[in-house]
Amino acid sequence: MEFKFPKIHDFPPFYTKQPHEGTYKAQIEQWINIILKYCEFKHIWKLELNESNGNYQEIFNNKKIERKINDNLLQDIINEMIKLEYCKYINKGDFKNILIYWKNINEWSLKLIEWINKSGQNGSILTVYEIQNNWPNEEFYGIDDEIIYKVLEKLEKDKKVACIRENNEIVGIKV
Amino acid sequence: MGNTTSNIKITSHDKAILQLKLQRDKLNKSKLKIQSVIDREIIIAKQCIAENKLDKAKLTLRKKKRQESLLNNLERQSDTLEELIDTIEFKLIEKDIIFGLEQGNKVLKEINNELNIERVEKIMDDSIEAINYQNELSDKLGNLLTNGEELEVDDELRKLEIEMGVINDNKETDIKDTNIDKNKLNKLNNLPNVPKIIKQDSIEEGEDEIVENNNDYSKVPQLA
Repeated sequence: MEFKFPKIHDFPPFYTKQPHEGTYKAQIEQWINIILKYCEFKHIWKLELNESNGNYQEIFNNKKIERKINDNLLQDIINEMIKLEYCKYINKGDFKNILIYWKNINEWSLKLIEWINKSGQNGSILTVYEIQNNWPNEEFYGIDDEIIYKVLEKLEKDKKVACIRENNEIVGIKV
Repeated sequence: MGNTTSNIKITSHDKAILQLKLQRDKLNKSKLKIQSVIDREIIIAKQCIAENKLDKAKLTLRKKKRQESLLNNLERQSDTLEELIDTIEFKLIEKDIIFGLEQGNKVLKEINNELNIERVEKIMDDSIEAINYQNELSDKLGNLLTNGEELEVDDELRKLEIEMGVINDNKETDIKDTNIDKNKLNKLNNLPNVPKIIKQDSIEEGEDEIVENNNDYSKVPQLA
């Protein structure tokens, strides 16, 4: 199945920075929405912002209308996504590889708690590996280490779960 | 705030279960690793056959076989582990159930202690005493009223009855009363409290009247 881009993706001005501030804000929001939906659809956690990359080609380089995203615009989008906790750079100083969360940490924590309650896991012990790998039909299947750690840390802070650590790394939780 | 799961305590049981689960995860990872090795051996074997290196192909297949038996072992072990985890988790649930039963039993015993027979009997005795006392009191209070006061009470009752329209035909009842009175007077001529009896009879008549009149009332709207 192919990802179906919204109509605005075929709109040429969408690929350049809009001068009016309100329009620009909306433009960035739309872009973020497209990126998150696309990555979720394709189950991509790591996105390479390199022009030769297939995913990059598909999202940011629209061959149908012969438009490629403006670099400054892309940078603004990424910055905004980082601010909203939707992504982060995988390695410090490397601006080409980003980790996409699909949902921000707060949204993921709600999802996880919802799943715990729905599946009657309350009171049981779960390993992080188990959360990532044992439920292929759940949205968080294959969730990246870094994201799941952040989610669990947040849940621990909210006193929804207790984290069990080994060598400073979360290995399991009690819910 | 106010969340029931706010303070989650990790017990030694929890840690033991976690260790088992971590072990299971490790086995799962090893299974993936061996599976990938097996897949690679198959590719190599195919290559060797294509290049007509049959000996090498056979060697590779033997390697593959060994890996497969390893994988089998791993699977059995991980199954045992899984079973152990399930048993422990189930036992923990059973423990909770027993604890719950114990608590329930304790409460039941406490309630039963409060409801012991002697206490109930004592309460019942007390109640009978209280009822007797109440009756005695009523009797005494009743006797306290003088005859004159009794009369006044009767009069007031009659007045109220007339006021509320339960008695319509005063004269008729009066005639009835006098008819009965004459008979009764003949028998009870010498008793000092005759007027009281007359009045009491008239009350009884009045009560009969109430029933009759009620019937009349219920008929009126139907006619109209």
